[in-house]
Amino acid sequence: MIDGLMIGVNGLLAAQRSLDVVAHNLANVNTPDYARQRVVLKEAPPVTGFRPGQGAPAYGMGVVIQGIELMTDRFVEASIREQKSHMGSLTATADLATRIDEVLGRTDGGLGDSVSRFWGAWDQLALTPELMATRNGVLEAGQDLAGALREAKNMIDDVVAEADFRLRDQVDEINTLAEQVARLNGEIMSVHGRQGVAGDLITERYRLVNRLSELAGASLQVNDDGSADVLIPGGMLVGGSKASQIEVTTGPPAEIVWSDTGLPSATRGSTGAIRDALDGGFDDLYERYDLLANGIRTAVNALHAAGTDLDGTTGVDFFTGTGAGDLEVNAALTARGVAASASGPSADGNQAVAIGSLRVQAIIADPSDPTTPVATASASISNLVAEIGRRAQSAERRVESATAIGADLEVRRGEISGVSVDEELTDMLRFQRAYEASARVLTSMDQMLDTLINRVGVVGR
Amino acid sequence: MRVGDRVRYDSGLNALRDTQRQVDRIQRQITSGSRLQSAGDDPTGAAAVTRIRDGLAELASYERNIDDAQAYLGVGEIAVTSASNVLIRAQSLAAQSLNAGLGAASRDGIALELEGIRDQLVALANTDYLGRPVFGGYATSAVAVAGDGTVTFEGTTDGVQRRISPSEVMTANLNGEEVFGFDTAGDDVFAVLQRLADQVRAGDADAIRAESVKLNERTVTVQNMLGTLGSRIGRLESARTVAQDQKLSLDARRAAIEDVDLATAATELAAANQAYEATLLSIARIDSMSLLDFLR
Repeated sequence: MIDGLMIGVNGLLAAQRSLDVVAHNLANVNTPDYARQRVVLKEAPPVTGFRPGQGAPAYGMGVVIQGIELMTDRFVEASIREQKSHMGSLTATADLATRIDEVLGRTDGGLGDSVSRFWGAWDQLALTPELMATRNGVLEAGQDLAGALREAKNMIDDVVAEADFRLRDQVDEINTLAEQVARLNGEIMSVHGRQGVAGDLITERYRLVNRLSELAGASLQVNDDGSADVLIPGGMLVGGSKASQIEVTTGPPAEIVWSDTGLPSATRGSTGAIRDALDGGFDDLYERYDLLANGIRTAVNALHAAGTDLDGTTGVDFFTGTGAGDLEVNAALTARGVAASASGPSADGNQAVAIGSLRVQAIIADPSDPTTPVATASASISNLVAEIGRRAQSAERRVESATAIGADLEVRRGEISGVSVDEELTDMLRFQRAYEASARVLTSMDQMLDTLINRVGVVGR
Repeated sequence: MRVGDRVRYDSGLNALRDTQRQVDRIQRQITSGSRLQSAGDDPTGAAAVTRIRDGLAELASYERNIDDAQAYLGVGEIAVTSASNVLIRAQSLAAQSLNAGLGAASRDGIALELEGIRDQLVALANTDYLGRPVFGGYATSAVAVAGDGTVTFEGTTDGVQRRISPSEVMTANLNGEEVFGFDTAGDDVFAVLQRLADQVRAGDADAIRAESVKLNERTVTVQNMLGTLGSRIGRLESARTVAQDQKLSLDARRAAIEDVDLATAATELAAANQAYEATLLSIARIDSMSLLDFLR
């Protein structure tokens, strides 16, 4: 009967603990990424050892909690990490493409309109070559055009600078997360050593590693001692309870290296995508704007130099500069100095007509052959706008479809790891009844003991 | 398949976010009036719109040039018409002067009128359009009168060109040297008129007849110029019509790509709003029941 008391107590404790786990699950029904826990019950083995008499029957000592199981599917979780890495990369790429699209993908009031107005100003000048107003108009339109091209280059510079900043920021976050995961590994290992339960710690580690996957394309390798190594393409970021650090070199191009040795490392995910973009990803964009500026500058200057101005002098360079970033109207050029005349007299505006006709002439080269002009300025700008738009559009589309896949994976994880309130409440009923039953067992054992202790041997009293 | 509670809420939230984004996108289109917030919305369309805008600017240039050429030629036409009229009068005067019974006073009167016509022609020859001589090319004036009364051609024979279409350039001025006969040595209209006046005073019938022949030649030249002008102005009109038609069609293409059709957009907005409301309703229904309602 003493044994019976023990069995009853075991039952009570098991039911109590089980209820605790149910309560924990219910409390965390809304916690992001929470994986539910489940009590694993086992029969308590018979107590062996000294027993008076021989041939005593062996009976179990009630129930014992073997452990608390964390309900996860590591294959789904590995897929989720892979998906997050992919998403991190796609989102970073889409962000950059969208930023460029927002600043340079305008169809109204953009570069195209500035160039168009420039040609129009020369057409106006051709009608009244001696008027100061139309001469100044040409200078102003030229300044507007140069400004638009310089602005375009500056905006690309801004996006590049932003991307560089974000890369460094994210690498800092990666390092912080790596430290945290290492610390968690240490705690989990010691809990395992004590035969304890590390469910919540493991869930927290899962959360941190997910973010590392998104940022760096990290993958996870769980060891027998409960710790998990975090691997990035460049090597081991976290090994057990030890974390390595990465850093970004100054560049350009900025590279990711291990902090302690300076040897090259590599990441995927968001940082990988940004690093790749910074490594020449904007080169062709810069080149196209430079080709545009150079094509216009060369063609206009050539015709301008062949014309004469109001004072009969040959035209000087209209534009100065070497590319889009430094294109300017020649500071030495005045309204009188605009070479509108082809044959000399100020009433002759045919050179202005010729310059205005550059609108429909192929003066811009293509990156595939920078020395040969093949397209009009308008066609060149239109191709540029289309390219910018296409990159943004296809990047956005890839993000959308990846998001859908990611959502599906989360549903699959939820099937296994998610908390169902109905399920937990049913378990609660179950354990409640078990508690009541064990309590009744205790009462009954107690009554029997009471009879034995207090009522045996009291004959006639 | 187990369905955790969070999964249901998360699915609902995702759907809500998607429908909200749709509504927002359509609203932005309606308020801005443009389907293209940036090139990413329709890359091919954006490329086309960029080219179309330049094309429209090019057509606007041609229209400006056509307007200018038309005004230029219009001024020239008035001058040439007046010149033609006074030359016809001169012809009639010359015929009159052959009348045998005319006295010296009448002949003098005719001669004076002929000289007056010559002066009128000088003024007409120097007609200008916005400060430029219509008959004088790039010079500052077409003809000049020297101290002794001789009229010389001061202008140039350059043509003022105006591009009125991708394939056509129109000369907007007139060649004064040709119109007034300076290309015939010594027989320009002014010299002829002066000599005619002198001969009328002198009463030399043969000389008068000789000069009259030259006067007729000069008159024919001027009248031919009217024909040339007429055909040029006609070509301007058809160039203008073509440019305007092209402008309309380009703008229609641009609008088809860029502009929001309010009726369609309003319908899409209503549909998107409906989807949003339906999603809200379904989320509200997610947790209407659970075991908690049934336990004591």
